[in-house]
Amino acid sequence: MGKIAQESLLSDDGVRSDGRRIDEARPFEVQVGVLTQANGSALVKQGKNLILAGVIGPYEAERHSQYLDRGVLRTRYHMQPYSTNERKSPTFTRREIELSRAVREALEPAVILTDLPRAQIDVFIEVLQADGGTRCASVNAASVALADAGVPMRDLVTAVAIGKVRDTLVVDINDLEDENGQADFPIAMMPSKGKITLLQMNGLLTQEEIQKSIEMARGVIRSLYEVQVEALKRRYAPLAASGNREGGSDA
Amino acid sequence: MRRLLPLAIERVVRMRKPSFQGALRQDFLEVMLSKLESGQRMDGRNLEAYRELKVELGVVPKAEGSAEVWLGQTNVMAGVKVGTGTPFPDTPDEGVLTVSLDLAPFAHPDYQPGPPDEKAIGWGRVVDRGIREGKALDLSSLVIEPGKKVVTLWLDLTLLNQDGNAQDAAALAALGALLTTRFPDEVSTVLGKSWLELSHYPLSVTLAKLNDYLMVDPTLDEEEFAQTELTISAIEDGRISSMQKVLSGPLTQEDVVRAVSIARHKTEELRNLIFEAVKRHKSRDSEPLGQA
Repeated sequence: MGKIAQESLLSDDGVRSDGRRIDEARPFEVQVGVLTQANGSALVKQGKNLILAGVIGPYEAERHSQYLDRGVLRTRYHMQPYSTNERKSPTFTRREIELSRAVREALEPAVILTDLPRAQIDVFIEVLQADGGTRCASVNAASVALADAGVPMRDLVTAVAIGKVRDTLVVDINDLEDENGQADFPIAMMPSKGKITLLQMNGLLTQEEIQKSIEMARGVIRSLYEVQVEALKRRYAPLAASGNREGGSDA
Repeated sequence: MRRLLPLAIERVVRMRKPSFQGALRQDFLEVMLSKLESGQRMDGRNLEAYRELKVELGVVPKAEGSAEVWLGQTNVMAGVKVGTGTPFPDTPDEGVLTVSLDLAPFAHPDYQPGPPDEKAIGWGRVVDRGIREGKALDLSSLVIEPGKKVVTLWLDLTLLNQDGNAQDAAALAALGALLTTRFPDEVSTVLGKSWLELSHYPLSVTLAKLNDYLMVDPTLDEEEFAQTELTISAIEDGRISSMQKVLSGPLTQEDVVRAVSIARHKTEELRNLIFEAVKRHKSRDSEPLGQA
């Protein structure tokens, strides 16, 4: 790792390449119910990440993939060809297969699948623009989309990637820090339960750094979670107030 | 399809195919036909009206050009990536344009993830032909070193939400993205220009035929009952650059002539809307803040 000097990623007075402080997350924005054909959907902007998640289901699964005692969650993480600096081939890559699984396993603990016997839920994630930490932004979008679809859940799932530049831990790393930094440590949690549901790490960290990373992630996740909850409230509080039991799909 | 109130207690397992089965289908068709008799559509439009068009340009700054289009609730994203590469052996003095269209699996409950199917390839190819045959791009101006190095343009379209007439929405998004494509430095310094230039401006108009009615810009409900559809691409001088009939119902000669005349008017209306959006975008974006 490291095509760019570590000094250019973090100045002497603790300012990062995009002007943020080490504990400052990128701008985070969530829009709920942006699609009409999906049962639930969310658009997330996290830094320059632009990620659209759509949920189809729950619907009755095909016989051969049914479970009698629980539902099945499927995820597909896919990047659009124009989402990256170099055009990405539209065919499914090994990386996308790995991330589809990581995202599914991040979400699964939060979904009460035992309440949905024989059912299937498909979570489709399209990365429209990638800017480092796409898997975290995808988790953030997907969990809101699941809630929008009315899927029974224990909690939302919220994620952020901690990184290390110039031997310093920084939160919510961008593209540049991801490619040139010393570590990439994505973490997802069920915020109100305090449980970790996704954890991966590339790079070199000490035990102390790992402990500190999780603490830093917890703080950021708390604030991102509030944005997710606000977005859901913005979408549904008016409907709840008017006693309308149908979520308008004609928005 | 109706969405449930999220977080509701009801645990309803929905079927994947919710619409238009059995008696409901017949009722819907009857209402639709009786409205058409008085020149009206289910959503209140007349037969030749488009739904509301919304265009946003430059939505994906990492792409050299991008556009997001809503035609009613049909939503298409277009991104243009610019690079350099070797020309095709049979056209050594021309740049390379590749157009493809992908269906996001959440765009419709019936869509499955996977490589583009017949439908996606069909829509993508009609957009491609509209652009190519309409000579929208002067590919010979995109040469860096004849026979060796040319500009490659990738136009990738994504259908994000399907509510009918994905074809025209895709053509609109494609034109919007091409018109706002800025060359990266390695290309602009060699070619001596910073924006991709278009020679012509192709757009398409799709008509669905149900009995004797030709409906412009069909919704998904209308497409469900259409016997055939005709897409006509036209450029700004009124010439037609491609046509495509899909589905197995027949058309008469009169239908085709009428459709062509409708297409010429309608593409002009739509083109002006795109031009306005491009003008707004370029005036806002005239400073080269081009860090992606």
